[in-house]
Amino acid sequence: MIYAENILLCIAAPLLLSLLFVQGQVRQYVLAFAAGMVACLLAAYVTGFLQLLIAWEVTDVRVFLSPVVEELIKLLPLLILMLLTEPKDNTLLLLAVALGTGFATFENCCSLLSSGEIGLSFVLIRGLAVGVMHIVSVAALSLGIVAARRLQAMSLPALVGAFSLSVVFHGLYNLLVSVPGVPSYVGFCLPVLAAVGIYHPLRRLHTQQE
Amino acid sequence: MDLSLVQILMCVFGCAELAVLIGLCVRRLSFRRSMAPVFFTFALASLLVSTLYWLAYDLLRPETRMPFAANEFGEIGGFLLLASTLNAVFRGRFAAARREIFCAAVFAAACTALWIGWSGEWVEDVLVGLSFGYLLCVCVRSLKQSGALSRTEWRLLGGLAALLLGLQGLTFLLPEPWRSCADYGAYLVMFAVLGYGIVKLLLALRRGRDAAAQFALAVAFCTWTLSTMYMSAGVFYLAAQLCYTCSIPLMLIALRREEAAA
Repeated sequence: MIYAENILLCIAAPLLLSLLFVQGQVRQYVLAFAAGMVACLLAAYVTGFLQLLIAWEVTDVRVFLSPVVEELIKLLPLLILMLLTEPKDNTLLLLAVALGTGFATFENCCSLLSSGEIGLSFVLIRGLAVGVMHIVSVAALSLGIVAARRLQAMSLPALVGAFSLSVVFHGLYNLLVSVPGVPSYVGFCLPVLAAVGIYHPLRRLHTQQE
Repeated sequence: MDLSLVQILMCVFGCAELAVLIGLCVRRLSFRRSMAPVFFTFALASLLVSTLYWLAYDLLRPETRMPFAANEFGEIGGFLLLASTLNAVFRGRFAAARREIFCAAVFAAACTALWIGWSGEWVEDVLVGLSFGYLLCVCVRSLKQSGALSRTEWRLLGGLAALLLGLQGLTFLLPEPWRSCADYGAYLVMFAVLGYGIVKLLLALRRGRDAAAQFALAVAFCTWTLSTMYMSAGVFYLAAQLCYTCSIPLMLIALRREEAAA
């Protein structure tokens, strides 16, 4: 049994204090990182509540329900940010990556603390795979938002389409890692492959903005 | 030969094709020009992940039924992103083709009702039906706006779509052997439109005059193959799946031409 709220406080407190000493994009990154951790905790609450409500098995919840909830909760801060401040494409991507990193960091911390003593190799593989998966899914989502807002009136279907893509990608990862052995290793490789695919468009967007 | 094995092999081939096409698209992505290639790449990625999910689930949990079909999220995403690609190419309003869009919406609603009748899964079929209906409406608007179809072709398409729905509806009401007759009649209509569609698309691509019309025709052909797949079973499903697999590179060729023309 771990208290996720305590872990959140321990990690978020120094980060939030550091905001007093940094400015500009670093400040935005740290804030989005902390928001990502809060989003992870919220996603755990909502998934837990829904699990009690619909009484599915743990594996089914992990494979089917948590991708939908987690991607939705990651999307919400980005949408709010987009509606309130209309950030530049570069800023939106930066904040999305920070959000995904915060989410993955918090999930990794809770997972490692709750699973007790495990090997270093597994820690490295899981840490990297989960980290890359959350970053890739939220980066794809933000690329979708960047493209969708250029359509103006027709942007909602594009946004829902990008969200669906991130949900099914996350779902595929969870499905593969839920089975031990070869499928889980394929699952761990999947985010890395997707990261390679998405790296090029992200770099191009950055250079075109500059 | 076991048809499910053939279907799996075709899915694997489809995944490989989508991965190659995504690779080709990603190399040329740009956020400065039109957003159409970005949406198209996302649509392909969505369809790829959806098929991979279906394959992985079939392999890892063959005996277990999904609580809800998570891979259909990918299909919904694919349809919406494909519609967004068309929206990025044709920036017209829906009012420009009000009558045709109304007919497309009725066709999509009737298809959804038929899917629910066959599978009994309300929520999933309604969600997929909504996104498919949106794609169909955008597709029809783009065809109308580009003038890709003549007046006679519009009338013929409308008549055949109505005939198809009528025949599919009759399969619920008629006893055997009339039910089979209606069923085969529906297949005849679907594959006649598919055949005409591929000939028209290939001729348009060969002549290469109006790039936007070529792209509208390519997406319309892909949409019809999807509709045929959802209404078919057995060997007919595989034939429609083959046409769907062929339609994707044709869409990419048409989009490249449209980009070059723009």
